[in-house]
Amino acid sequence: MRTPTALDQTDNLLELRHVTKAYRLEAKRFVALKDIDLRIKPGEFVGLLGPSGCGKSTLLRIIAGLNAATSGAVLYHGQPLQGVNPHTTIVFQTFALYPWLTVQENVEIALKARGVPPTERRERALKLIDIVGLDGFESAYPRELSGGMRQKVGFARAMAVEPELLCLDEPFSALDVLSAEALRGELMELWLKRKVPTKAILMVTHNIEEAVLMADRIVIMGKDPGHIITEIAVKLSHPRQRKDAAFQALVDRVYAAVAGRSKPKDEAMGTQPGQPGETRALPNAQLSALAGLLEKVVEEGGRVDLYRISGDLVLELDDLLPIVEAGDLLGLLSIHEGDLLVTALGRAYAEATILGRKTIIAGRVLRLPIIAWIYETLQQDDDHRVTWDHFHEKLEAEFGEKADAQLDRAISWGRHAELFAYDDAAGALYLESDGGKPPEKNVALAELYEAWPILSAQERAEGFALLQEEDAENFFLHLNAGDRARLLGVLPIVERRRWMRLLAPEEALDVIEQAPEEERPGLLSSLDDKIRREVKGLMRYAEERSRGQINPRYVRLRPEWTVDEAVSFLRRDARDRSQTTYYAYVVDSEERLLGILAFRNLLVAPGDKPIREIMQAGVITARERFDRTALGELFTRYNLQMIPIVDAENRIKGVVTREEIQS
Amino acid sequence: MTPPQPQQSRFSPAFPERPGWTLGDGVLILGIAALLYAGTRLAFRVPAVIAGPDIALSPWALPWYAVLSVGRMAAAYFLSLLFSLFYGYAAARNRIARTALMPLLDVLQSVPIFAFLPVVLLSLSAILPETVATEIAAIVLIFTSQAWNMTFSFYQSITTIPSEMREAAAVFRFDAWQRFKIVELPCAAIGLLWNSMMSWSGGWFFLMAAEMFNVGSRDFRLPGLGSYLQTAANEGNLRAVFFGLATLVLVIVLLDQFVWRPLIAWTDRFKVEMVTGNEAPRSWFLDLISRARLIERFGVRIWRPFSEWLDGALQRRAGRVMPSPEAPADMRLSRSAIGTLTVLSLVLLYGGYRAATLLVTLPPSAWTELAKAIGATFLRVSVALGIALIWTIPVGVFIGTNRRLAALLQPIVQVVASIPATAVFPVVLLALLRLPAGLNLAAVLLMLMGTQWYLLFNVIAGAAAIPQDLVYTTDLLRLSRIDRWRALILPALFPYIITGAITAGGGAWNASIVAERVEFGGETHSTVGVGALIAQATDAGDYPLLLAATLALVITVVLINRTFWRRLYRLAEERYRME
Repeated sequence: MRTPTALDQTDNLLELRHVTKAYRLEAKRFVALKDIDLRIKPGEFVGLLGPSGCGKSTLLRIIAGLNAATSGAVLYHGQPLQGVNPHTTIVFQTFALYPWLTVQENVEIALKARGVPPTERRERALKLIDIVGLDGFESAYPRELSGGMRQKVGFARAMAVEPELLCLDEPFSALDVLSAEALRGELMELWLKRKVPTKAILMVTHNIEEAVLMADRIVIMGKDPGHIITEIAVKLSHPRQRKDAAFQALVDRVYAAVAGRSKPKDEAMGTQPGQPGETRALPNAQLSALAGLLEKVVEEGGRVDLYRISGDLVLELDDLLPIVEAGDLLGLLSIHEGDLLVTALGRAYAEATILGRKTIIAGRVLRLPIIAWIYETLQQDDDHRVTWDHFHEKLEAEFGEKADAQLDRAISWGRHAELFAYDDAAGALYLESDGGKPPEKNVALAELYEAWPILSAQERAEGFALLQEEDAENFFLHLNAGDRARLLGVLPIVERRRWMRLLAPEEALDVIEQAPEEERPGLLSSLDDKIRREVKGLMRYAEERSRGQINPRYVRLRPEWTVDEAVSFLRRDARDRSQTTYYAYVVDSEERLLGILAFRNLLVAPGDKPIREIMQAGVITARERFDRTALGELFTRYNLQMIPIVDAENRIKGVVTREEIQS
Repeated sequence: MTPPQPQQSRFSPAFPERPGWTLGDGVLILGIAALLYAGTRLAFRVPAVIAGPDIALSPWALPWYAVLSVGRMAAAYFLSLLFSLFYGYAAARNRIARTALMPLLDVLQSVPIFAFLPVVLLSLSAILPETVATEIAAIVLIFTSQAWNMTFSFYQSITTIPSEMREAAAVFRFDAWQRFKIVELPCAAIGLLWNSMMSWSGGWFFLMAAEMFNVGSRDFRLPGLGSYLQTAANEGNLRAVFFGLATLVLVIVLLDQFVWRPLIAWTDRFKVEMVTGNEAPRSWFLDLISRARLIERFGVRIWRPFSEWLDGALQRRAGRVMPSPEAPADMRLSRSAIGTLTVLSLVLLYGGYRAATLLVTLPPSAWTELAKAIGATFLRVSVALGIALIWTIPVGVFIGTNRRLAALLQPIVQVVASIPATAVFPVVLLALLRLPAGLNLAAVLLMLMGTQWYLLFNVIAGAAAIPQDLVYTTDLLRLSRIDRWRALILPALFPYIITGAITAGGGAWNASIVAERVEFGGETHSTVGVGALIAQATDAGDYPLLLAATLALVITVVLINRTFWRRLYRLAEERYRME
């Protein structure tokens, strides 16, 4: 940037110097825009980009003279601006057409207000309607037009008065994707070919690609209070291609600048309402949306490009950034050079079940000063019930007219974390009173989650031992399988037996196998009966497998096994072959076939019987001399695909299939 | 009359966003007391006997009487319209004006207008010739019944203009006139029109009563349809009653077809929504005249040049000074304003003081009588409202949920509803006065007739607006009839019932003034009630009592509105809105 000189000032079409916009609400002063310096030169297309609430629209209105700056100077052609700037017009997001005037009247009215005589007015209006491609629609009313066509009227009206500086206030964001793209192209053609006498364009947008596509220079704003973060020049030649590597790189750079980076913790949190220092506002995000984002990022390997993920999730920047900010604030995400990174806690959160998530989020949310303040206030109240108005009044001193939104968000987050709830009829917040869970417990739990990845095995066991019964169980169940096995490995044997009971058979087997030889029978016997039998089935499977006795064509069960063992054996086998086993051939110790079990019979068989008993009752085989109709009935009754044919010694002689019998 | 389109026929008394009572309320009550005192003070000089007009019962006199009645209505309406525009505009543009004007409007719209009729009549006849006084009193009365909701509507419309539309006006440098003509008036047009129709039908109610107002030796009647009907019923001339009512209905229907319906169809273009409505209101008369060549010629040759000239002239006069869109909010009061306010408050205090001294002269027995009277009227109002609720809710739901039936019944219901209850009142008296407790019955009936339609229209609109999804869900859940009403229909109707009942309740209190004491067949019939008390005081020239009764009635109604209805209204807005 050049240093300002006397010559420079006349060079600028528009110059803002230290522009600040603040307003007062009762005793507190709220700053919407702080110390804005901006210059626009003739021939420039400037994009003004920022998240919602950064004051970019307010800035546009100050430039157009609709609003006055609280302090600082707004110079137009070097002269201070007073009142509405006669050399600018605005194209509005919602078009702001008058529905009761026709297309032509809507354009003409702008000229009429400047005292242009009727005949000239008509000519100029018709010419502009023609330029924007609405020839033939002069007498249509806006409600008869599509969104894109309405905005064309907006452009025609704005250009009719031949402004030097054309201000665009998110002009494409109310249009559908295709109309917006078409209209962008048409505007760029008018602008680049100088078909209109406009000297400069200032476009407010929250769409990064749009800014990179159209602007020569992108001014990036941040919020709280609204300020300019940086400016990025776009040196790509027109027409710009979105797929270009240079284009994409630039979009990436702008994303990084807009998203900023995570702040140090203390600074990020702020103080409680009513105490010295700024209270950090809660971003406009739903915690359920944050959960979705975390899952997505974890799925992508824990680190993703902001630009890419906003495209994948079809989220506008304005929708994505508050969610990212919430994640950052809660320590579940961090931002670095335009990338999103999941923290260890974030990963634990993404992998936890619903209950586990609530526990984690409760601890995290309680660290936010606003939530902590509400929670403490409710705790100190005798009925654990305080009116909405009470909180609102205090928040108003911090946030002014945004207090409503802040309190609503705090309630939504508090509800999500099941910390407190809101009674709409009574207009009061109250503590969730399911036995009055003290929050400290939650915090410890959340901290353990957070620290988990960096703790040593011994530290983990110690931390786990500190948890209270119910929490420990939650925590244990929400650990991933590997962590769980490793944790059990370091727990004392008594503890280990206790926790083993909560495990699924496969995990139990893992733990048992990792345990020293002499502990194994003890561990196995500590399991519940059913699980123990299932574990046994798995162990048999492993045993047979290791001995190479798993036949690739059929599964063999032993008659002394129980049904539970057989089922877990079969399940495991089915999983390894990734197909369902329909028949199990039961053989004795000499490998003689005793009978065949259909899996579906096994599933409906009563629990603890030795397999031999079931076999006597429900085995389905066919003797060599079979009756075709009887066999057909067997197929239909048991819905089987195949039946083996055995001799008197139960040795397989062959199979008969359903097709064979039916044909 | 108003076809019940959901969003429009839910006439709501639009409470401002202000909780409960303020100092302003006190000032307002004081002001009303002072005004009433001034009126009664003047009334001391009223001649004891006032001769009424001679009413001819020939059917040939009816056109003339109709012209007189409509003329009064029109005069009052244009007064109301002008008032609405200026008052609403002032309140919307100026923050100081707003803080004073909106609460004032809030009280005014809940005050029972009829209560002022005797005071206004008496005070005007004291200073003006009798015929002029009664004419002006009637117009003032109708004006006070019409102006408030129109003003509210206009104010709300121009304060809720989409901000970008307003900003566009500023960016494109519209002057004040252009802004008014192109932005503000069109935005307000539809609301203003619907409220005008509302006001107009309310106006008939008051006009009829004003035309036939007659206490003892003081005959304040005016030549018009109201007095014609009253005289006809009084003499038992059923043929004349029939002709009178037929004329009234004809006039109302003609106005509807030739004025209101074309206007509704025409103002449809001022919808701010950008979506094309599926059913635009139509009017055969508008279609007819908009096709006429004469009209087109008029538009091209006269109207357009004229409006061009007018715009130009006003633009030149505005001196091209561009107003800033942020109205400069000058919160400081100028010295003259402070002076005016001081004088005004002194006058108010003095008036209040004198009113109090006048009230002190009342014997204690008069106060107990007054309390009894208010209690009796309150009971009557409650009974009327209760009866109206009992029959309108089932019938309204039945009509509202059955589209074909609604299409069939609506025109009939509208014509019946359009007959002002006060016009039928003499006929009711003719039929009921001979029965025991006949006047009581007649009074409740009048209240009922005047108020049930608000409720019915609101219930129909509410029932028609129940989302179809919810109806299906209720069907799927197989709810019993009782549960269906409890879970769906009553909650959905609640806001509509409340807004209907607020208006209906106000109407019922008004009706008490004309219904509780009547001159009929040369005799005076009276029952216990605050209306009777006011009429009796007017007749006897008992001015302290008149002041006390009027003031008590006003305070009672304002109190009921503030404590009871407003709470329900808020509940309805917050909890039972279907959005």
